[in-house]
Amino acid sequence: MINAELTRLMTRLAVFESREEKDALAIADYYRKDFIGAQVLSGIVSGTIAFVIILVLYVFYNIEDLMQAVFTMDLLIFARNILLIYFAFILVYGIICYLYATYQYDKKRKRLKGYLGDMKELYHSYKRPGASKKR
Amino acid sequence: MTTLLTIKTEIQNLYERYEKIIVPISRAILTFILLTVINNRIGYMAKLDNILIVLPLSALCGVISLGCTALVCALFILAHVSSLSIEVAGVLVAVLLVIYLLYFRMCTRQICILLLTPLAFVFRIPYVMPLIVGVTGGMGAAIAVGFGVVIYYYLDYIVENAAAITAISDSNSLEKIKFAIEGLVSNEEMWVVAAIFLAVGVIVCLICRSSMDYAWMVAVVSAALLNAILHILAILVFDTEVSLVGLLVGTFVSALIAIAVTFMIRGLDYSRAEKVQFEDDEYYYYVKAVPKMHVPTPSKTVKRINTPSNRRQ
Repeated sequence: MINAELTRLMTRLAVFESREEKDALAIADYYRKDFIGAQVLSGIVSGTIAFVIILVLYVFYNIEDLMQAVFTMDLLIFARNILLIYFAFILVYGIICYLYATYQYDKKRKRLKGYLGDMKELYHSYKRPGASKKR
Repeated sequence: MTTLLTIKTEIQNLYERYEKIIVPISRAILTFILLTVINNRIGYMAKLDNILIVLPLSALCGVISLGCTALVCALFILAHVSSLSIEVAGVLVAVLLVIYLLYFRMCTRQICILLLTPLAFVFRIPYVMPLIVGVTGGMGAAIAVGFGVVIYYYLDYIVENAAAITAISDSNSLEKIKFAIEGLVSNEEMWVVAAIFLAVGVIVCLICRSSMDYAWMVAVVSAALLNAILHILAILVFDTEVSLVGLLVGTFVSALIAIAVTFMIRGLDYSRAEKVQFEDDEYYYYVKAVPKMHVPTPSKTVKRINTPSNRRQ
């Protein structure tokens, strides 16, 4: 005979697995620090690529002024200013990535907790006397 | 009100029953509309303006995902712009890459907002986007609206200045690149509208989260007013080219659409709201529970009096 309670539980688990497979279940493999660290690191790499693209666009836009000033300006100071802007940009973007990753991890962990609770219930329901016979 | 609620419940039931068909079909329709709009408005590569290309691609995107739709749309836009000028297409690639790397890499689910915002501009109801996004999404979603504004205005700049771009000789690539970047740097209207949409989206989101009665309604109405005021200020200060009548009518229509959408999604019955208070070892809890409005759809049962079996008897 079909156990209505078990069917409901397994449906809920299957729906969670199909919907959250990429999101909540993916974080189960990570410790909190590892997940946030990986997110921040990929954020820094992406931020650096984006910064380089913006810098290239800036150079193209101001190429005539830069070509005229290249012999008169202190290149070391120019490079230092660009590095300072880069570090400020990466710092701000890194903090945003950190906050977002923390929020995402906590949110998904919470959802995962409910899923694991349901899994436990399913496990115990099979361990109850007579359950194996029904299976 | 009861009729509206019945319609809402019927739509919800219909969606639940045919979700597997409705979602891919609506995705395919969205892709088809987007590709058609791109072909009509940008359309420098005549070969792409072909139903035999658009239709199969729309069907394919309908089956796969919205990310696929975004990719196909981006490729279409780039193909059209590259027919106009390779240099401008290069700058456009750079802009799209920066937007992806800084935002959509993390929030892939918001890609839908990026696709819908330029479409809302085309249909002359752009103000609906920050209002709906503020109610349904979070503050992060308001950023996606901002990026959508940037993409729409930048493409508009390219289309409006197509003649000027082609007038620059092919040997002067640097001039073309500078002209393309100019569209980002000196396009005050684009940045002002993006900032206004961002502010409106955040305001809607903040008010919606408050515990006051009819918070979503207050949020939509006040944000619509704020939107109109900020746009009028932008017209006065930055001399942006926004029609005042279009702004007011557009805001009004957008507010109505946002209210209708919010009603479909939320629909809370504040008259039955309950405030409860309890405590545990660590906290006091002040909870306000607002029930959702729900009207069961009348189920029609057909009772057959003369069934074939009865007749035989």
